[in-house]
Amino acid sequence: MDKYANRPAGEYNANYTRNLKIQGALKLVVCIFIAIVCLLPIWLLIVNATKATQDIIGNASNPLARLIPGTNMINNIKTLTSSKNGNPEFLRAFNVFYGFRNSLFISICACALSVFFSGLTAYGLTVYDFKLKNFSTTFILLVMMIPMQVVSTGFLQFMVQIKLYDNYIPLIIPAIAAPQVVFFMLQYMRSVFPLDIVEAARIDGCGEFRTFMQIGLPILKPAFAVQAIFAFVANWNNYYTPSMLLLSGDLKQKTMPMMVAAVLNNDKINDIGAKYMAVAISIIPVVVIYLFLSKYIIGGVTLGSVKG
Amino acid sequence: MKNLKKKLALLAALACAGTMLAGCGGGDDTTGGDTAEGGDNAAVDNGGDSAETTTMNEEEQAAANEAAAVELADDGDKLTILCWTGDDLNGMIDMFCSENPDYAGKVEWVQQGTAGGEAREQYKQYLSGDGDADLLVLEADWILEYLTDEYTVPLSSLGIDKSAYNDAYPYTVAIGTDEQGILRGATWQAAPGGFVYRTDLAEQYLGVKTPEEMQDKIGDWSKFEEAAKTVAEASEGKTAMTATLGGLWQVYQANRTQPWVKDNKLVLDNAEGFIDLAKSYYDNKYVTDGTQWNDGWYALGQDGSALGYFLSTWGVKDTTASVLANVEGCKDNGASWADNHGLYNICIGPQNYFWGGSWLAVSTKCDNKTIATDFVNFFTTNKDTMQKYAETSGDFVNNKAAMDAIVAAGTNSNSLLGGQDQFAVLAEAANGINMDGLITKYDSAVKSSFNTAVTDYATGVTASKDDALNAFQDDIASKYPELNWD
Amino acid sequence: MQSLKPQGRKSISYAKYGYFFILPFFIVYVFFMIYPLINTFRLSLYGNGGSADTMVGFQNFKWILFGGSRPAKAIHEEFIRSLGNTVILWVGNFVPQIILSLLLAVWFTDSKVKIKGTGAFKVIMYMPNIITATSVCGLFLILFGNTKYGAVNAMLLDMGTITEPVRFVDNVTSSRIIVMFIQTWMWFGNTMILLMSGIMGIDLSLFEAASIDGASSGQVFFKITLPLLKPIFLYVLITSMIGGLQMYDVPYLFHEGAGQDAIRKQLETVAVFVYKHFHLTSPNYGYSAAASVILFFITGILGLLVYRFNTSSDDRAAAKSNRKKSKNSKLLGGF
Repeated sequence: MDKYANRPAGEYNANYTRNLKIQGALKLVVCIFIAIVCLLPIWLLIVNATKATQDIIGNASNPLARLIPGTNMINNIKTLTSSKNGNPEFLRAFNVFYGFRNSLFISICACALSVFFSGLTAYGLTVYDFKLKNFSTTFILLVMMIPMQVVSTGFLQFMVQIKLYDNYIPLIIPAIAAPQVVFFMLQYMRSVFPLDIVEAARIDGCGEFRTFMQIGLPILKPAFAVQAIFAFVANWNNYYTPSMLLLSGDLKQKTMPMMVAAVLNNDKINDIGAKYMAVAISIIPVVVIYLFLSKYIIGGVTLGSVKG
Repeated sequence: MKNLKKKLALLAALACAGTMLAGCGGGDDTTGGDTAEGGDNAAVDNGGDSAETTTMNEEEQAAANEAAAVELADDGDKLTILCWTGDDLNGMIDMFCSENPDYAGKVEWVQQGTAGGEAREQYKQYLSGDGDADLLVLEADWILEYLTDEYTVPLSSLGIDKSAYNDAYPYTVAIGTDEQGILRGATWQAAPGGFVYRTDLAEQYLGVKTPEEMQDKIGDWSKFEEAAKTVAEASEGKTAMTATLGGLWQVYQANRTQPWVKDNKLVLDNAEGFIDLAKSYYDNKYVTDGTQWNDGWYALGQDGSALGYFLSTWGVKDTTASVLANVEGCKDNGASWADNHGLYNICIGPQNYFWGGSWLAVSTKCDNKTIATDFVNFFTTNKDTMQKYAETSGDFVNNKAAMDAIVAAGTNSNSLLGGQDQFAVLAEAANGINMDGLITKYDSAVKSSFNTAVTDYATGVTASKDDALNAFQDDIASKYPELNWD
Repeated sequence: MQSLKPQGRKSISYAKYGYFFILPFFIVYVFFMIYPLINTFRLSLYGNGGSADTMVGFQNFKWILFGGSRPAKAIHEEFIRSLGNTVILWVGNFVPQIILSLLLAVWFTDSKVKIKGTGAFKVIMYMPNIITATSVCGLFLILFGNTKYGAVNAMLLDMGTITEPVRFVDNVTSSRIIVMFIQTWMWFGNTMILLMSGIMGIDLSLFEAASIDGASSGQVFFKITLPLLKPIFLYVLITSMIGGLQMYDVPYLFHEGAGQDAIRKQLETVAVFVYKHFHLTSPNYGYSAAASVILFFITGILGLLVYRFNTSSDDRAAAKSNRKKSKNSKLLGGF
């Protein structure tokens, strides 16, 4: 495109516009392709959820038949949920209502705490000067790298010691200390946060915490939006910690991923169509919620460009 | 082990101090002696606090059991059973409570995980908290881990001793016995295995019409291979004799004559033979490329890729959820079936073996002695109730007299097997299983690690037999550095 | 990092707020993380399996890092192999992921070339990330099953491309490529959104100015977008590296058959190594803990290196004068 720079204005504009259109079309094709790759596995999941076991694993006469929904959807749903026709193994391992309620509760609480306190911490580390500031920043950077697998066992032993197992507290409260989120906020504040504004607020006699709430938070909004989705999704999908901490095995207490894993790993459940239905039930509402909120999320991200 | 030894040594020392008996130096031998270092072997008999004896006769054994008994509380609220198989337990508890109306509503189960492997980990976490647990359901592969003072008390604490299990299949008692020879676990079910095969394919390729004829064709390993060759040739490689290498290994390893770990060393025994067998079976298509418990496992029988499966009692139960039911294509939870329904028969196969099964052990937390005692007796020692349970649930109960009575009555008929009585075949197999001195706490890891190494060699992931053996030994070495590797 | 106030002007009186603001983080962190971490360091000095109560000093580290007798050699080889796997799998998913994400992020934020339905694309591309790894893995296992029952094998057999099923899950190369693909598939949308939020944080007037000056999109990308994207890029790099070194669920779950031994050797990452030895029948806490400590130091060093490398020029220059720094922040803040 460099070459257009020296041409007469009219030709430049016409060529330039055409060129942009071609570019746009090419990019659109690439994006459509990537979008199909993104959706295909999810589509297959939904397709499998509507089929009977035999149709999923049997030999298909036509390979494309694997991409077309089957007719067993109602049966699969019944197997999972109906107290009459249901498979008792499924009913014992899977309950949509409890799963969603518990997972939503944990995810929303943890997500809110994680984003708010990380913002607070990052704000504290950016706006103020204090002795331990550099130490704290380096510390957060370092601890971000601790492999969860090992810490979690020490964590579990400790939770059992202080009798916090079978309880949502150890699933929610630790979200306050999320080094990766803090690190993101720090990086974000470094690039967009106008420190002058804090000074200005002080001159206006605004308290420090109020400054954070009324000036810091709105500016951090885009970062909040991004990290909020990540935190929510991470907590929603977290299987490892809840399965370690919720020891009682009470279905009423289990989270959605625990139920999905229980269904997928269960040797005695051989109805593959129903297994897929379980997975589908667990993700479709999330996808729907995500689709609704995505407007705000993308809006939030765009907000950053306007404000920043 | 160290921990256990320390505790034993402490016990021995306490016994010394308390009774001022001479000859208690033996207690030190337990902790320091070379034999004790190899004490992971079930054959080493260190009976409780009478540590100075190296071998014990049955009387002494009984005495040791008696001595190890622990006083249990009896003021608990409900009998709580820790398990990962709520389905089985539901049926058991229903029957127990209907026979003992006093206990109705006083027995419950708590599920930990959904597979045995998961339960193994989660029990420990559950038990370290203050959740209630009176009985534990344990799996053969890792039962030894829980048969220690830390988790369980000897069955003699319920007043049940070894003599109550004279009618049980001996291998089940061997597995329920801890490293000191104390009985801590008993099972309600025996899990002898057989070979289930598609009768139409067997007739087509082997010309057999009855299970007896089939047994004649595959009665030992060389016959089995011969038959496999016939099937592979007649079907032009479309049908393999058996489904998976894993299943084959489950059977083949039962002809071991030595424990996997002896004198703290890994013993290969017949393992090398299996590597050759597996490779030639795989290359010649005597076995399919499928994997157990995988989605394709059931399909192998449905489309005729495999003529038969090695399955044990729980796999051929006449329900809509058993392995065989899935192989035969049970649809919509039993509402409809594929054409293969009832198309299978069972015979013993080349080798007696067992596969799986669950044991009951008494938790150290048990505070319902009376109900616990009744429950354990109901399902593991009482012939009448056990027979009734077998008849209603289709489970193969761990009582020779009960099983013989059912077989003799000839009333059992399995619709999955076209009406054949699997108990008649499997009871014979169960009598032929001998696990004496063959059980070690390493078995679960060793068996599955070896299976992986062999499968990798057969399917071409590892290049040579030596590589396979090395990969296997390295794996065990990294899992158990405490073994002797000189 | 940045201090607005010139030194000596009231800065001390506000210092305490800094502590107040970061206090909740540290209280919770010490309570829920530091204690378990200390426990890990302690465990790394103890024995394995049956001798878990015995203090063995640095033996675990010696064995894992240098080998020796058969068990030592076995664990050494296993660890080195898992380290190699980790690097291979991480590079193999990070490189395509960052290229794809950066490309898409630039495309979607380009004010000149508008792509139709950008909003929908963003939403779709992030979607794989919201599905649990367990489900994703189960799905890909069905698609790429070893036998003729796997969907891809079935299709290839139907079309006559192959006569024998390909053992996609067992085969070293194909299984690694699939895992890399899953990781990329799951995470590129995430990275894309991060990069987009970074790009959108860049002052629009800079782009406008560049546009008026007649800069090409390539020039804009390399001269404006990329340099100003550095902090977010750094974040993506570091978190991805950490994520890569802790890569666990997909490599752990991607195998056929049940149990620990079914885990494919070519996919055993360091995190899988740690988890595996922690959950063995006779747990090898010592190995697990020692490997975690090693992993901790490796990540620490890598993180610091990347951090230094990326910030050195800017920060050193910035550190020289506070005035310059505040100017800098003004520029970044777009005021």
